[in-house]
This record gives sequence, C-alpha cells and structure tokens, in this order.
Amino acid sequence: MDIKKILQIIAGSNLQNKIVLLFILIATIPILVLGGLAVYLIDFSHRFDVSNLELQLIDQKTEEIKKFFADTAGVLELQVGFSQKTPIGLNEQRFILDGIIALNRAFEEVSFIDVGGLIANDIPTKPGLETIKLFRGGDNDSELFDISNLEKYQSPLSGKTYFSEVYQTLNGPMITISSPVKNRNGDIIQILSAEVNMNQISRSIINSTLGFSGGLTLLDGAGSVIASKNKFVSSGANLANILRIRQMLDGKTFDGLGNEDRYQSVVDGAAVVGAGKKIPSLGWVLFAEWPLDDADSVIRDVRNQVFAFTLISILAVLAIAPFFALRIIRPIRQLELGSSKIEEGDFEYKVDIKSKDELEQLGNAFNKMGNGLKRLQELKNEFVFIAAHELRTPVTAIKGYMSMLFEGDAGPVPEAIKKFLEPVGQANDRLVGLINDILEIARSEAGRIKIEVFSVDIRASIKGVIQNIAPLAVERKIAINYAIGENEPIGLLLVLADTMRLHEVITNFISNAIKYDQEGGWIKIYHETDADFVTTHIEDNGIGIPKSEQGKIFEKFFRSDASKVAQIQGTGLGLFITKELVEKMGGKVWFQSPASARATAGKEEGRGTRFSFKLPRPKNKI
Amino acid sequence: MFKYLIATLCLIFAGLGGIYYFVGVPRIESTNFPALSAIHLYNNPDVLVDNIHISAFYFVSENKIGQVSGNWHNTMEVGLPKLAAFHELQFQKRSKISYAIYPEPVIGEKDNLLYDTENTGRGNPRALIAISEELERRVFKPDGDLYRKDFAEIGGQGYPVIFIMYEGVGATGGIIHESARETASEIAADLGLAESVIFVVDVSSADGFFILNRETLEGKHGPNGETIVAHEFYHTLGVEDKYSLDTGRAESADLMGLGRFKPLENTFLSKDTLNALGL
Repeated sequence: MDIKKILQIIAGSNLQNKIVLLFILIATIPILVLGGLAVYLIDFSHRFDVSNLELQLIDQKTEEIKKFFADTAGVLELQVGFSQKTPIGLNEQRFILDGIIALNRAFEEVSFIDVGGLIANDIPTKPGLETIKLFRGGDNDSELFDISNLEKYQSPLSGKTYFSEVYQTLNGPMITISSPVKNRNGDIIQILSAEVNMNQISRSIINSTLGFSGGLTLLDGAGSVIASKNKFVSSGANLANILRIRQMLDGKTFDGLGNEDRYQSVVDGAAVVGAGKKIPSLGWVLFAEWPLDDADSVIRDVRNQVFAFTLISILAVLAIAPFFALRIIRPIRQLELGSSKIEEGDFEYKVDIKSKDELEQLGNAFNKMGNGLKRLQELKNEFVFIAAHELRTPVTAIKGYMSMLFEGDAGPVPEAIKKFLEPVGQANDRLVGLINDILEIARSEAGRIKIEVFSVDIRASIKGVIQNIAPLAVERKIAINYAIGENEPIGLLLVLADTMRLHEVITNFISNAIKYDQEGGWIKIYHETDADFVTTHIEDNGIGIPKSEQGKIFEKFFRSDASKVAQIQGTGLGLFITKELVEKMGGKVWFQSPASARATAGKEEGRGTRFSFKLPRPKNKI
Repeated sequence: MFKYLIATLCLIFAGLGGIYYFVGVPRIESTNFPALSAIHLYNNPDVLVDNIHISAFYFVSENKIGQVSGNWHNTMEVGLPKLAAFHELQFQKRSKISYAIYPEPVIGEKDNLLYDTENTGRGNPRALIAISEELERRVFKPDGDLYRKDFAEIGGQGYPVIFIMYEGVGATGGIIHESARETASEIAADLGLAESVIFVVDVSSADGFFILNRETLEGKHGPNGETIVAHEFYHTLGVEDKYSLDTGRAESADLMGLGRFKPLENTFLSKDTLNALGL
C-alpha cells in the first residue's frame, strides 16, 4: 500500500474532510483567539501591576528622601532674633553646633563660617573663615581654614541653601549642605555648613525590594550612583551617558508600561522592567529595575499554562474532529449502501441509524421505501407469473396445432402455405421459450423452484448436452472440444447438483457459446478441481463482451450491444437464470476474459469469452 | 480537500507559534553602554594605574635606633588597608592597591640630619629622595645588604610605589619620571613646572614614592594621620595639592584640599580629580 493510499484512508471521503475541516475551523479559531486574548490580557494586567509596584516604591522612597532633607537642610536654615549684622557669639555657635550634632546622626561635621560681619569695635570678620567646626566623635579643637573659594561658602551668599554633589566615603554617601544664617532683617550674618551622611537613604535604597531581586537605584543630578540595590554597580559610577538615564535627568518619567521599559539593565545588562522619575526638588533620579526572570516568573507560569491548555484543546479538537465527522458521515454511508442494495434488488436490506435526529428519521423513511419497493416487486412478480402462465396455454396450443399442421394431420400443406407457416412456428417457439424463461424467473423469485441436489457426474451431463446440441455446432462449423485435463481425476467427476438444472445450466452456456461464436470458430470445455469444488470453464473465440458491459451480463434482460449489432436473437434472461440456478445449487458463476484477451488489455471485444461456474463436490464420493 | 486540511493545520500551528513567541512576550530594548576609560596618572593617559603596588618601609636613621617603635608594623597594617579600601571605593573598583610591608625596620646608614639636610620644608622632600635612593641600593638591587628577592620582585605586579614611614620629619610624595635631562631646570622646562618642585632622584624600582612621619600616621601630631597618608599617596599619581601652600586656603573640599584634615572615612576625591585620573 503506497503512501498516497494511506493518506486517502486517513483523509477519508470528501464530505468527511469538509466536515473535519469545518469542525477544526469552528472549534480552533475561538480557542486560538481566546488563548491569545487570555495571554494578552494577563500580560497587560501584569504589566500594570508591575508598574504600580515600581511607581509606589519610587514614590515611597522619594517621600523618605524629601523627609530626610527636611530634617537636615531644614535644621540648617537658621534665623537669629537680633537685627545687627554681627555673627553669633562663639559660645552660642558651639551650643548650636552641639545641638545639631546631637539632633540627627546624619550630621558628621558642622561649622560656622564668617561672611565679613562686624564684631566688637566694628572690626569686620574675615569672609570665608571657619569660626568653629565640630566632628561627630571628634575633639572640639578642630583646625579652622579659609574656605572662601569653596562653593559651600560662596553659594549660600546668594541667600539659598547649597547642596553639593553627593560624594562617596568609607562611611557612605555624603553631601555638603550649607545655609545662610540670617538676622531678623534677613541679612546674611554667617554661613552654617554641614557634612551630612546619607547612610539612612542609602540603606533604604539598598534594602528596597521588588520581588526577590528587584530594587531601586538613586542617582544624583550628575547621574552618579548614590546607592543601589544592585550589587554589580559601584557607588559613584556615572551613568549619565546612558540614554535612558539622560532622559530621566532631563525630566522624563518612565512608568514601566511602555515597550521601552523592558530593556537591558543600565546597571548590569540583565533583562529588566524598569520605571523611574526625577525628584525635581533635588534634581536627582530614582529608578526601579526588576529583572524579568523574577518580575515575570508568575506570569510566565500562568502564560505557559494558558498556552498548554490552548495547545491541548487544539490537539483534542484535531483528535476528535475525524470521529465527529465520521459520526455525521456514517448514516449517510449507510443510506448509500442501502441504495446500492436496493439497486441490486435487495429490498430486504434495512439501514440502522440511531442518531435520534432527522438522519434517523431519514433512515426510517428509507426503510419504508424499501418495504414499498419490495411490495411492488412482489406484485410485479405475481403479475408476470400469472401473465406468463396464462400466455403459455394458448401458445402451447398454437405450437401443438402448428406441429399437427406440419405433420399433415389436417392434410397435405402446400409449399406456398408452409413457407408462410414456418416463420409463425419459429416465432411461436421463441415466444414459448420467452414465456418459459419468465415463468422460471418468476418461480425462482417467488421461491417456487425446487432444487434437489445429488451426486451427479458432470462429465456425463456435459457430454449429453454436447451430443444434443452438436447439430447446431455442425451447422455453424464450430468445433467443440471437451477433454480431460492432465490434472483431472480419471472416471466420474461428481458434483452436488440437480440433474435437470445442471443440464439446463450447461445447455445455456454451450448454446450461448455457439450463438455468439463466429462461424468456423471453436469452443473449449475443461475443468479445474480442488478439494471442495469442481470448476467448469466454457471458453470460445467469439465476438466477446466489451469491458464496460461485463459487470452487467448476469443482470435480468441485459443484452450486449455487440449481440444487438450482430442481430443475434435472445431474451437477456438466460445468464440470469443460469446464475440463479447455480447459486441455488450452492455454486458460483463468473465471467472472465480469456488469457488471449487479457494479453491485449482493454480489448476484450472480439477476443472471445470464458464463462465459468463451480459446484461443490460431494463429501462422500459414491 | 486534503491540501486545505493541511493548510488549515499549518495555519493553526502558525497561530499557536505566534501566540507563544509574540503575545505577551516582552521585547527587550538594548542599552548602549559607553566604553569605560582606563584609570591612569593624573592628566596622563599614557601610564595606566589600574593596579598599584606599594612597597612599604619603616625607615629609621642610624642615630634614632633607640626610638624604633614597637608598634610600627601594626600602624602600617591599619593604615594601608584603609588606603586600599578608600582607593577602591573612589575608583569604583577599577583601580586597586596591593601592598607589601618590608618585614624589618630599615636602619639607615646615616644620621637623620644627613637625610633631612638643613631644609625640611614642604614635607621634607630631600629626606624622601635620600632614603629612596638608599632603599633602591640596599633593598631592590640584588647586591644590596637588605635585598630580598620576593620583596623586590613583587613590585612588578602593578604601578610601583615606595612608601616610607619615617622616624623623622616628612609628609610629601611625587612621581618619578624618567628623563634624559640632567638638571632640574631642564626637566622643569620640559614639564612646564616650577623648578622648585623638580628633584633629581636615582630610583628605578618605583614610579612614585611618598614619605610620612610615623607619629603623624599614628595620630600623635593631630587626628587623621591615615588621611595624610592617602593625601601623600595621591601625589605619587601626580595629583596636585588643592590648597594654597602659602596661605593654607582651601581650593577644594576633597582629600587634596580641605578634606585632608578630615577622618579618612569621611573624605573623598573630587569628581574633577577622578576625571583627571581617567574615571
């Protein structure tokens, strides 16, 4: 069996394929659409969740940072209660600095710086000179310096609090904050400066958590890392050259929802989902990065489950589709088979459809139709039997009187009269034969033929028929050859048959062979035997049967076109009756192109015929 | 019909593939990381200092043998790791310091006056030069009386620096440039520097050297001795002072300026300085 045939079997019929295709389309398209939509919506919802978590964390830390600076820079914004342009007394300065150091552990160093105010005797102080400086945990006699060239002195002179860039120390990130100290009139009388340790912020950032591995990174206004959850980035590393960071420093906010928010981490290159924004009051940037492996771990599992479910559903549809189609096709096939049976005349055949729907109703209607046809057939047979029976009496009478006329019972028949009576007699003989055949068929179909099989020597029967029919063969110069084959048993060749009916069958085959053979042709009769059957072949080299007609030759009233062209008389009932008789005797009849015809494939016509029938052998030979 | 069936199956599995590979699958935007420059000497990209090796000595002049500190080794073992940690932090781990301490105090061949000369101003650079040349001869040359192969060769692992903890006056450091010139004035002209900061020295085993009084490092002359060590060390990379040598006025807040008087834990190198060093 080649692949094409296998594929055809798998593919089934055309209608079945259409149903399979339709079923697959109807079932899988919604599954695909729903699966895709589910995955999309789950992902969409998950993106919102991730974005919200990141933005919430950023906002929370932003508030912490703002509070930190409110607690530190706010403390340094000092206004005294007097209106003179004189610095605060040294004792008061020390008291204030002690208080600041004690107030907040973030202050590592605090100092007052003179701005050139007047002291006793209107002597101006030296601008930019530190007047007192305290270190956390240090002694109280720190060396004082002229810092007039430093930003932390110059910038607050404009009246605003100065924030330096964040610098990294072994104690953590630190920032210099210096504020003008103002008198009651708003005149700047000193600068109060502090080195502020940002460990509180740094720890908060480092301890920030998104899932198992996500976290925050805080950058100063120059894009340098102040603190980061990510251990792969060094404090102080400048990221300002990275486009995303540059955009955030310029004020762009990333909310974690956009396509650009899933990117290679600016810190370590891993795939992350990120959000971030600038803290406008400080110019700093706070951004979150959450490795996708972690952030999407749950959604990936859900997505895989949805996908697996979709895949399994589709595979199930593909597996079920042929069975579904077969379920619809089966009743149709039963009806098709039933139609064939009825075409063959089997009106007893019943279709069995139990679909509990219109198809079952159709099956029931079909069965009723079969019953109706059967009844019609019975009525027709009855009519034919009666008509044939009624016709046989007058034509038999005609035949008898015609014989008596020809035999001279009514006196000599003149030759001129005889010339007219002979065709009448022949026509009457054919009519008698036709009526006998019709009666035979009618009896057979009505079950009225009685067949009694015994062990019969088929050779004797064949020889008897040949002897009877020999004059006809001689007339047409046809040679009949019946010989015992090399492998055939010698002596009697017994079969189980009704003697009369076997004689009738053999006569039919041999007379057909003579009738359809060419003048000067030949007929060969021979046997094949096996343990159970004796097969008899009757082969001739006559006009043959076209291939297109070979399937119909055993049908009732069928006549080959070739025989019609050759104007060979016949009723088209002989082979039908023969077949019926053989089968009733437990045998089988068939036609086959002879070997010479098969050699020229498709050219059976004009190459002769070979009819065969086989009959069972008796179990106990007599 | 069969071909339609096959085509439908192909479309279905193409749809499944589309869902699997495209729906809900994030596209990862690439990030362009700028190339990192190498850490180098101050304003001199030709000499890389991503690895620095300090050969540390406790040097005692012959006449001060009686003042040898019993705690000298511990002093170094505290100060140098802090310097290494500070350096690694400031350079974001892109430049590292290793060190080796000569296991014994090096007793000088001469009295301190002969090392210090009559002028110990500006951190006593003459003592630094004289002691370095003696260490070169006695420790780093194979025929030297204090030569130790393992110690002398370990300096080959990076930019070599000599640190002298001196039992005397000293707090200075600098780069040792090779020059075909013979006099300080010629070299100063070549480098565009004042002749006063140029010293001719015969040392080939190091590219930088610095000296610091032991007691300063131990905090006996004021707090933050370790900060002074770091300050002098960065002179060996070419970093200049950021304060007025005449008035003491700070020009920067970092280690090379005002920050040299803060605890090392609280000070830093300014971004300008780090940029000039290649960060």
